[in-house]
Amino acid sequence: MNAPKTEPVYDVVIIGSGAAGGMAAWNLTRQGVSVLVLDAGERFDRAKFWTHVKPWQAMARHERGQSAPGFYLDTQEQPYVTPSEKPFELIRVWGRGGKTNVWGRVSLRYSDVDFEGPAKDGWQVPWPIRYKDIAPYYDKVDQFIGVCGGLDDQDSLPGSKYMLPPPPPRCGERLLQKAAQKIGVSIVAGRRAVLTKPHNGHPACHYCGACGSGCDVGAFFNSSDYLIDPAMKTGKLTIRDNAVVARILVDDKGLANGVQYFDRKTKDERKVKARVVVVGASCVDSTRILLNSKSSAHPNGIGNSSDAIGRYLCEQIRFHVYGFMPELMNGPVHDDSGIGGEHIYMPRFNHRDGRKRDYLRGFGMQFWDCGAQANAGYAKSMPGFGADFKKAVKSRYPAMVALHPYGETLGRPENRITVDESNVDMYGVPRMNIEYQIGENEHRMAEEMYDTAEQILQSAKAEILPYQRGWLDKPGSAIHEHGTCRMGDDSKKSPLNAFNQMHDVKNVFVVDGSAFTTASEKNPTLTILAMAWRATDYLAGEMKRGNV
Amino acid sequence: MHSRRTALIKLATAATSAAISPLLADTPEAEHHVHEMLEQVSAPVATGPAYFSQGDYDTLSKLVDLIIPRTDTPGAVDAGVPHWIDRQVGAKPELQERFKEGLAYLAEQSHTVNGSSFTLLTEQQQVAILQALSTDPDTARSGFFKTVKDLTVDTYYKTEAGLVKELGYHGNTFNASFPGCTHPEHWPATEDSKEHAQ
Repeated sequence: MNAPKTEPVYDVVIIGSGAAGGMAAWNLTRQGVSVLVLDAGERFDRAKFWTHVKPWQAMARHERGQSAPGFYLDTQEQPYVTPSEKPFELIRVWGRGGKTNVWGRVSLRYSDVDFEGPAKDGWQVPWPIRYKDIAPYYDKVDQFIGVCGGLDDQDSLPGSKYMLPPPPPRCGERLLQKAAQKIGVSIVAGRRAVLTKPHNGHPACHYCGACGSGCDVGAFFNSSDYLIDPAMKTGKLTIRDNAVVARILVDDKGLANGVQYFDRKTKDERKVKARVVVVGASCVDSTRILLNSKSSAHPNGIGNSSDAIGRYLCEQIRFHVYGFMPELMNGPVHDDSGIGGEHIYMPRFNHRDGRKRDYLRGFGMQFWDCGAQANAGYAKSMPGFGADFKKAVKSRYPAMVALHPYGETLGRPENRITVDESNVDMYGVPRMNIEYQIGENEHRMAEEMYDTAEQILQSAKAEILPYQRGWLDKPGSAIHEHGTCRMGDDSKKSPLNAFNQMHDVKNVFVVDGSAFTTASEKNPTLTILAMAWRATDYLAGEMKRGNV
Repeated sequence: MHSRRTALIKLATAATSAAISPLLADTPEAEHHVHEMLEQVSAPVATGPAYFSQGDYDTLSKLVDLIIPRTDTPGAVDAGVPHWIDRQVGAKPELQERFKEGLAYLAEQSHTVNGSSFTLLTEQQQVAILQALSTDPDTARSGFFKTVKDLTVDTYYKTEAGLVKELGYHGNTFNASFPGCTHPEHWPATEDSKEHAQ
């Protein structure tokens, strides 16, 4: 921590340095705005990543007391409370770039099927924007960060003119495309923020597939290298490490005038002044900060006259089904690492061709782990033991395909984050309670998700690995939290307007997943980047016009 | 001495030359890169059990050997699986409880069969006990077998013997390009996805 004795008043203080905060910092500083970013951690040292540590080497290292970089926040440090019958797995990365250091890189544009969903079916509030509002920003994001993928354009998955070449599908992925096509389901080239060519000064992917350990050369978008570093070069950015934000501070009129934070190392309390506060600490932590920002002007948390902040938490439902392709059994083992994760994607189709459904919204499907992996976890679900078992495991090794459907969950007022004054953290700041549960709509959707996965595998004549139908991942597992500070035109129902600006407090903007009106079935990061770019363009304009 | 950057530049340069194979995993540059940048270790620190008694360790070794035996490729014992399971169980109290109960039950069964310990039974007798154990309606008993099998599978297929020698894994390396599936018979009749002219 290097807080100066006399701190200047910044134009903007940004909470968080991930996709949301990083984009805000980059876009504001390049327009001449002075920015302070408060980061709850530090920069991760790329030279220490375990990208190229093989599984057997990792075991030997662990025995020697070594460990891979600790990207993930230890829940013990920042505990949250869930009712015992409603578990929620909250996965956080505190440090430069946040979760973009290790994210799944799936970069799907929202379409008007997504933006118009609530307006059409009437569940909760409509989105205040449509695809045309955000499309130019998707174009800019694609060009800036580098997204590889196909050129196709579907109603549920808009295309882009700016894709880098997609990596060719693996054998199992090709066979899945073929099998799905036979039953009228389209599986297209995926869209991933991985550089299949050198791009904007960043090197191309070397197809090691170990992205989940952090990329040792930075060949996929991460906020630290792609946004914060260029922002630093403007000379307009200051970053404060290990700054755990507690509250947004307000003046007599209820406008924000600074931020209170605690030094993660010394535990000292600090305050910083700013004209504008941009919140991008990731959905759940941002919500905690907003709810803790109580004052006489905002007794219910800053900008929360709607009482919507903390409510409508939505994640996604998902599960995993595995099979073995007969054409690939006992065949040659390829290096299937590729760009790490799937090269293909199944866009949502349940709204098309007069299909009937007994639930709202829809699902897509992802396919990571097709082909030879750095483990044989599937063997645990195979019967028997001994030499025959060993042979059966080996024969299936090159043949595995993996299906991971993702379904939208509806925002519900009772799915809620609250703060508890009687239960404080190490800084004396109220901790969070998270109460979250999926409902009948999600269970009905899951039935069709299972049907679809089964039909694709049956069409492929695949051997299906035994699984328990109906089983869903623990809530939170998709790490796609949304909705707790949603956008909407009606200030009585939504805390934010169409530009991520608080209806109640015009100098506070919230630019992460919490701003999403619905969750959709898609991974949010690309949309967070596009929305944060759009919101901060608006903010910069409002600052120039003297309105903020 | 090459730096990481030099190695990558070499890779990038090589990639532009059509005369050079796009797969550089086996080139000295790539190998050098991997080994120079990371001081890799593969061997266990020490041999012998740290958590289990020698008797229990011998039983565990026999169990993992029955689950993944040596064939024309190494088995779980060859791969050092008992060592790694010993370390894992030593670190997890809930696993310790399961092994305590499971090994006690195994000893009891072995005595019932011929008044001896599990390791001294014939392989036929051992297999029969394991088969009964794996399908035992008592979930604590079948659960013990499942625990040992899962640990064996997870560990064996992470070792170099299991993952590379047995399964043929050769991923996580440096490639200048990714060929994907080169078998048109695996492809759909028409592309659902429009692809780039490359």
